Amino acid sequence: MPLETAHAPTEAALAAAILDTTLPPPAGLLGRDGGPVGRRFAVHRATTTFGLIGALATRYPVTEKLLGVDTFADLARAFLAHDRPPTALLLDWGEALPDFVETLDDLADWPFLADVARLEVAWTRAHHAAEADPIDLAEVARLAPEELAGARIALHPSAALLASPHPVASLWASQQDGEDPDVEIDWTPEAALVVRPRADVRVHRLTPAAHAFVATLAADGDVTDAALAAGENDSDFDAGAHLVGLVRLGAVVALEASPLAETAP
Amino acid sequence: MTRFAPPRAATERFATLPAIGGVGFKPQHFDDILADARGVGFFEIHAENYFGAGGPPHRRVAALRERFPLSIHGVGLSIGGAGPLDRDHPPRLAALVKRYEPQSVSEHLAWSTHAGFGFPDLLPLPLTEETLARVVDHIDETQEALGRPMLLENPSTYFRFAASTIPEVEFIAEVARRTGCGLLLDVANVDVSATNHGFDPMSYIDAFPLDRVAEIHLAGRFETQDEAGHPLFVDAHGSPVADPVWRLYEAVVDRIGPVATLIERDDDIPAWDVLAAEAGRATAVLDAARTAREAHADAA
Repeated sequence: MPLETAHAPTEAALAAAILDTTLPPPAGLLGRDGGPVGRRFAVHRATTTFGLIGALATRYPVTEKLLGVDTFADLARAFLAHDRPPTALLLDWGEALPDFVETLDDLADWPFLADVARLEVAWTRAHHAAEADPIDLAEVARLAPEELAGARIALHPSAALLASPHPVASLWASQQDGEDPDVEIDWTPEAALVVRPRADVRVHRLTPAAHAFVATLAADGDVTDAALAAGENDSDFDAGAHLVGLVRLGAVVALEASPLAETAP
Repeated sequence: MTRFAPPRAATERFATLPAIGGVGFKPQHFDDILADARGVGFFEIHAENYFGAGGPPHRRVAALRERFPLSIHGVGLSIGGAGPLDRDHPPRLAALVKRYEPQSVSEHLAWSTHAGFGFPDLLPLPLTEETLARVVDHIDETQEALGRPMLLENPSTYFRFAASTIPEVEFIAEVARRTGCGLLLDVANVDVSATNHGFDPMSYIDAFPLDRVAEIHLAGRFETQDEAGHPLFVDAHGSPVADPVWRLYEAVVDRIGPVATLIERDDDIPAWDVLAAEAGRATAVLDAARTAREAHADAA
């Protein structure tokens, strides 16, 4: 066939044959000396599949450790049949894995796994979040007690809260480098605060009352609202001490006695 | 001022990296780099890994940028794609370039996005008048967003398109001529493609528009075979630069003089000193070429 009349396979045909490995390579491709292209085309299939599985493994290191590398790869392959990145930009992709995990009958014996993966989503978001300077304790001391009662805060842009019926923060912590992965875990509901006040992402375990307190503040409630919410879980809840604790963690970037003029991004 | 400035290298309008060996930056090497990066002249980052707002990735690059020249290398713009560029991508790349003011910005002659599907790969395109016009439009759009010239890298390919009507070197030369972009010559890619298609890599180099080459890449490949028993080299970046690639590189440097040269390693990442030594080997080749040229100039 003369060159000028040959039709190149469309980009759509190439893309389809990479996505669906049961399809043959599109017509119109040439190996060396016009030879076979099967193994040559397969390079792109492998690069794409391993690239995406690798991106998920990077994003969910604890989930991968809990499941094991092979089972995690199986999970990642199943996820790929369900969710693909819309562009080659993988930084923004893969956050739907926890919801997908919850739909799998095969993982029904691992009911905690989706929340561990959600904690990893929060970790990655915090890792890449914008910089902001946390306030120090002097800012708390600046307010009179009656001003503090009506105070509102802005959380650090990296901060995220997660409440789980499972010991999600303890499970996550047990799989970190240098920790005992088989440590006995107290199987109770846990909440976590993920925040990156400076260079490093921190994962803090919260009691149910502390979670209610921070969640109310995060939803723009004032300290009194937050203390009431916490008190429903713990009648001895000390709002002042927890506010100080939150500032000490570097999770607060603004504290205002009156409603904030600007809300946190 | 400029009237009395010494003559500038012809490629300085495209990129201003020093003509020394550099290394693709990996976060795990950060502390070792700050402790000792002797013989390493610059670092390269993959743009898309730094499209986040802040955090450790940006803290590390900011610290590197204070100490070293920087190359920003895009791997996901999809310049060779049939559809329009992703609307958000050029502005995000431009914001990163504004943030770090790198000495070089580069991308690939490849595509990686199609109709709502992204591929973490550099996919090939047929080389025709139609695709040439499209690539030119996409580079024009990118350079417009960046406000500076970019470098376009030659691809590594595993198969050819029967419908291609323009030889790869001519295609690249014409893209560069129409867009005013510079070129990144990946010598390892030339070797991979030459092996896979059975052509002489030096004839490719001879035909390449070398006057626009402002950066060189070197990397390791994975060696296998196709069904017919022909060698099939994969651009895998998971091993040291192979000796035949070093020899081809020496021939290129002998031809065009010292050019900033990056060691790429993206898989099976070794300790920092191993990569620094590979960059040092490139620096030695560049130094030898510089010395030879100076001796030649003195004699003339």
